Amino acid sequence: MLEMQSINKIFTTDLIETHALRDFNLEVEEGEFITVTGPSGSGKTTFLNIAGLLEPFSSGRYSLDGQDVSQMSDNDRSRLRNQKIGFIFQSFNLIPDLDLFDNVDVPLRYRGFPAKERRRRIMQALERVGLAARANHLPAQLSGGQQQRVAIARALAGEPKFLLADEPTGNLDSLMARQVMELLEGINREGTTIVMVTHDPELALRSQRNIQIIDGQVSDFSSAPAAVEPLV
Amino acid sequence: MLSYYIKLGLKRLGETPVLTLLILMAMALGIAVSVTMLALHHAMAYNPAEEKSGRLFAVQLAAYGNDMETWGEEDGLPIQVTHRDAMNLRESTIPLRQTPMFRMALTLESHRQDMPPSADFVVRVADRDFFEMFGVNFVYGGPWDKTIDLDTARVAVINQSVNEYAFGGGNNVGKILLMNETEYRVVGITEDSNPLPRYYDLTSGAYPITPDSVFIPYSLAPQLESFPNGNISGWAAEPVNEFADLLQTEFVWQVYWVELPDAQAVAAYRDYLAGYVDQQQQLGRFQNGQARGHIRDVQQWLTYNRVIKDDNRVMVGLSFMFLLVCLVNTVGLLLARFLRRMNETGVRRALGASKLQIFQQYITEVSLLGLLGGGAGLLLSMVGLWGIRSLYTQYATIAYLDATMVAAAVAISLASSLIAGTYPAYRVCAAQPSLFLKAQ
Repeated sequence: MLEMQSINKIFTTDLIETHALRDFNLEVEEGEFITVTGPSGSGKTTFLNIAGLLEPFSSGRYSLDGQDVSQMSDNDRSRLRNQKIGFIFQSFNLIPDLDLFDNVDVPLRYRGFPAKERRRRIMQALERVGLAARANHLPAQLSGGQQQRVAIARALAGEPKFLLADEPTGNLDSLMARQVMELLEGINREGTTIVMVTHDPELALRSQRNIQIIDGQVSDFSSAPAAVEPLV
Repeated sequence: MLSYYIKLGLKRLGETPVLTLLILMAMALGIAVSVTMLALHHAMAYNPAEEKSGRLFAVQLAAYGNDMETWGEEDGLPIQVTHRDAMNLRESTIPLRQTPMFRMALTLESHRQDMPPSADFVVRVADRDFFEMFGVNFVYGGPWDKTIDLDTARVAVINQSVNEYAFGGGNNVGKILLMNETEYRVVGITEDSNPLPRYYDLTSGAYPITPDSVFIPYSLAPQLESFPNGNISGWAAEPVNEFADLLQTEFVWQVYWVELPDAQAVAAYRDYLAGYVDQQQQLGRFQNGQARGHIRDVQQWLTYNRVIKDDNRVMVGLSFMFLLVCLVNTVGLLLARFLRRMNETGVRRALGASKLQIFQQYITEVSLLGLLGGGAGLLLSMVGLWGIRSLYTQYATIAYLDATMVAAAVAISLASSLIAGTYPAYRVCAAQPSLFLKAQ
């Protein structure tokens, strides 16, 4: 599903070069649910941005669902992102002046679906997260957990093969975090590949595989998440 | 996607109302000033002769003595001719139509009770061809008979305003009109019209407020007793005690027009003028080295007489400079508006929007702002033109918006918004989306 070979990401200023990712290698199989942990500044978010085609990388090779993205144009990368990747963010990133229906509609608009198909997918996705009855509410009228469920509905509406989650429970209390995690596990069971960055060792334990990034490199592969150390 | 972008753009108009208002004000002011100046320039540049413009020619003669280096306009040609030359030129059979003309102010009397005599109506003295050459439309009757141009008769053509004043309206062909206590038989009644600029007689300004209201035959000129109401210029001092004296002088005070239907006629008339100058020189007139005849069609005539002054062109230029300043301000305001929404832009990019789609979304929003600003600017320009009409009487009849200028205002609004919006929209769409995704 995802294959990164010798990926380097270097941020350059007039005075200094910073290696955010250094000789980074990772392979994620279709249907896997992996968690990514590591200390702050280790390169987790950079990895996620590159994996989600939101940021270019300096060198190396990255293949997503069999397509080499290294030389793709902005249009092609956007199309691939739209069709194959779903994003879930820590701070939900819902558009505040659009109601839930219109928020979930955003990726479908860029996909070019006709209105009827968009409506079907939006309502299906909102039903999936239990918020169909509140389709006309604004995000500010919902709790944090509900907002994150809307963000998940938005990510799911386009039926992506690959879900990238950046600390999706970071802003939620433990009860809501558990609900969101259960939702993600259900989605994964249906075949969607999930890569989730988290600081929560308990959540890391629940994934099939955990990788730890330190100083821009994968320092530890483990099929036994118990090996993950608690992080601050 | 356009409908989606328009829906988003409309939704965002109410967002940050102060910023939106500032943007609209900047655009509206710039557009209002430029459209106001452009409308004035457009009205001044109008050629009322339209399709006849290339067939009608004003005649000029450099008919002055050899003791003068030059006289008249910069090229040594006065824009008027003498009565003697007008009478001579009338004998040419080359033009399809032709007419000399001048203006008078005669006192009219009304047949209606309680209407006092009036000297407010302009009387034009011309030949019959005037009406067809300059497109005068008749409501009742028609022009006088061609024979009257030679044998003369006290007849008159009046416009509807005079018809209303003198008779109270209706068909009054055949009735008597009293002017300066002299009777004139009405042979035709025309629509009220006031073609501006008054291209066929620019001697008293291009934009007179009062239209030509009464027309009498040029053949009556020797019988008239009042002096003309226009410019009289002479290159040498000559005694003029009464109107009859003026007819015999070398003073120029009449305008002469010919209608030449094709290039052959134009060439023939130029030859005729050259021959006429030679003939007059042999008779002892036209002794100056520059002596010659010249013709100009309507467009050339308007340009030659500087109907559009350089000041007007400068004002149009300055108004567009002002628009540019307003647009520079708008660029800054739009940047502030768009950068506030960088998080949303990052989300949209993450969800699959390409740079181009983000650019299109913002440009659509700017275009909506531009149209609103243009609408407000159009209203402001109407106020501006009203101010110009109130302050400057010479523009009282032309400082209006027509359909062309409304269309131009819409085009300027859209072009302005595209110019102002391109850089901010580009800045937003070119930004790295990942930088803003955590910044909510």
